[in-house]
Amino acid sequence: MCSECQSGTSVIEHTLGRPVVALVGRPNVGKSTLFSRLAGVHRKMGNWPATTVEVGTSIVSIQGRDIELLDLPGTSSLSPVSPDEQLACDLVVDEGVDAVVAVVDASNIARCLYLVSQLREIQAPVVVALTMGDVADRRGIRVDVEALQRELGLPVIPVVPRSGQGVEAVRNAIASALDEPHRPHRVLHFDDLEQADERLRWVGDVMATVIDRSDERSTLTDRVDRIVTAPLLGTVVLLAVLWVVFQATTTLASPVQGALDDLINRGLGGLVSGWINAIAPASPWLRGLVVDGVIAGVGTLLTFLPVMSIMFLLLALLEDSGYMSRAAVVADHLMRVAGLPGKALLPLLVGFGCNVPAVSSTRSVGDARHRLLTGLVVPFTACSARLAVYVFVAGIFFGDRAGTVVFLMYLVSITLVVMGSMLFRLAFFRGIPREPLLIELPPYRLPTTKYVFADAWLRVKGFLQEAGGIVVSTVLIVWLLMSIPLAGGGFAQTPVADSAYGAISRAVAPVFAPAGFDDWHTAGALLTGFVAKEVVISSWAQNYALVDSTRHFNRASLSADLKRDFDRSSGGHSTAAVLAFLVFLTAYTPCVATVGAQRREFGWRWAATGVVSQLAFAWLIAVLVYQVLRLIGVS
Amino acid sequence: MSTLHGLAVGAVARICEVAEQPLRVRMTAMGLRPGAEVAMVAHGARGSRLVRVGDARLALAREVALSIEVEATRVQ
Repeated sequence: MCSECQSGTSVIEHTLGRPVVALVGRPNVGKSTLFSRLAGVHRKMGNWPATTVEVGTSIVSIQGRDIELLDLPGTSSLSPVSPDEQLACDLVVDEGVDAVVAVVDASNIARCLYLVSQLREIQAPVVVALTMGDVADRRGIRVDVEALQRELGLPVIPVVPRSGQGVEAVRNAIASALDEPHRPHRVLHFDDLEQADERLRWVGDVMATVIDRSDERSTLTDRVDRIVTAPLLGTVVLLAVLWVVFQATTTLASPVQGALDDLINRGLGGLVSGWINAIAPASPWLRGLVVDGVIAGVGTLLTFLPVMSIMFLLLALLEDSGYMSRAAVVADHLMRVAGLPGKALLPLLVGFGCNVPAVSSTRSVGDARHRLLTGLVVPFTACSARLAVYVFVAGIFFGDRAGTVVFLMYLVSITLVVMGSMLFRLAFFRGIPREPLLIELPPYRLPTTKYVFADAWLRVKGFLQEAGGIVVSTVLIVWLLMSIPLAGGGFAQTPVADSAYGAISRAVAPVFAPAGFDDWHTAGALLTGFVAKEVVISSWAQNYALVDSTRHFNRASLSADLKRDFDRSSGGHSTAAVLAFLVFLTAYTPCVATVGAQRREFGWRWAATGVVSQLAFAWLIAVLVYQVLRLIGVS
Repeated sequence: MSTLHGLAVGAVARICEVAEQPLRVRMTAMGLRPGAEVAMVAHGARGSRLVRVGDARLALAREVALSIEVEATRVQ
């Protein structure tokens, strides 16, 4: 509920120094597509300051005048029920934007007019952009635009954002609106039931005047919806869609990731290494800094590009087609077990491929609190990088039963998601109501190639800009720690065991004594696992000094070393210790790229909260697993 | 009279009453109010219902559908 507006002064204008125009409308009315058309390439998506609510912003020149254009979160009314709607309401009413473009879906006018009835009462001038005229035409719904303009008392501009038709008229209407004086403020209370009823009666009267339904036809959407939301068939369709998304983000991206890794780390790294050796043979630290630090860091970041690009393309397709809301309906009852909405299913399943795009894809969840909660539990999903470690460790310690152990880890991961969600909810989100399903489903649409690619690119670019620094600097720090000699030897020439990294690993190792794996080689591998989980294996090899000059290592030797040290650190209960280690690996701090994605989506405070909580939670669970297994005699 | 939950697929009904509950204001804003006509589109998992109200297509949980009393008017 928006509070009373006391002043017509725009707080936003003072902050940004130019007139502010906000696009306001219900979800799925074509608001973001219109924003893209108006903003062109100069647009940014990001969280509004001090919130986790995503707002699109752009500086647009209209008739020679620069304006700040805002794409606000979708809202059904100015009676907010979520942080997203609250922000939209605050910006439109309390912050006093200079003009509002109310985006109204011509095929669904009745649902949009409630919001327009409230917008008619704010101070800022309002322009109505009437979208989805093509969908209304196909359904045989005819809208009398002149009558609508008359009834609303506002300019109404029919526009087709996908083709650009009418966009210039919207720009002209914005320019005219900015020259209008602000109206007196009349809004006091919105969420009173009687007032809501009065507004709906007004909507009914307007509808009777402006809409002709005599030619309305039964829609294909109804028939498709009967299939995709059916209890059994709907679940099959959802699983098939998710399987395609999962396969595409892992299988398709995998060879490209491998090729990029080879190209950057071996190709470019080898080339630069040879070049530095030739011009500065006495400076191994320079080679280490450039090749093992900078190039390896950038390489780590870029290997995420294929998986991120594919993921965001598929997400944009699902959103733009209208299927995402149907998937949320089908998955709703499953996700409620974990206290999450149906839309959280997709990010969680994607997390089993890679946590990084999964955190970014929480944007599809909608409500900011549910999005944050989902983003905090995504790292509990066992990503493919962890799978590589499961397979390696299970192969060494469990032989024929390795497959069962790997499967067990996936069950552990699912349990951790449910438990993590419950704990985070208990600790930070007690206020989130467990509301039953009540959502509006958009009509199906053919996705627009331009919009889908532009949306995917915008998100990939955002990830590179905001997570890139964290990933590269972390890789550099690890390299630096491995290069600093503490027991003789030159900088970047010391064995790992004698480096600062080795000393830190030894200092950390005793923490894992209650979990049965307090060996420094393993503690060090877990530390570098923060860079990327698959690095755990090569880090072990490095810690045991098994890596040769071609960066390869002898797996048999590593197996023998690991068996010996796990047996020693657990006092003969190596099976219990290994299982505790695998559980810890599943639950502990996500990789640095995931933390970067969390920081981008939710800010430093929540990213740090996630890291610390997971670390503590993982340690407790690992200790519990080890101690219980040891007590029941698992050796 | 019956509840919206009991309405058959393809049937059209008029809402008679919406029980008092926290979601009532939101339901009203979405068009689920006495006098509105609803068409049952599909029955979903765990008793959820997919209905058409005017131009909008809404998905409702079982408990929401059970809180709405309707009177069937016709079959599409």
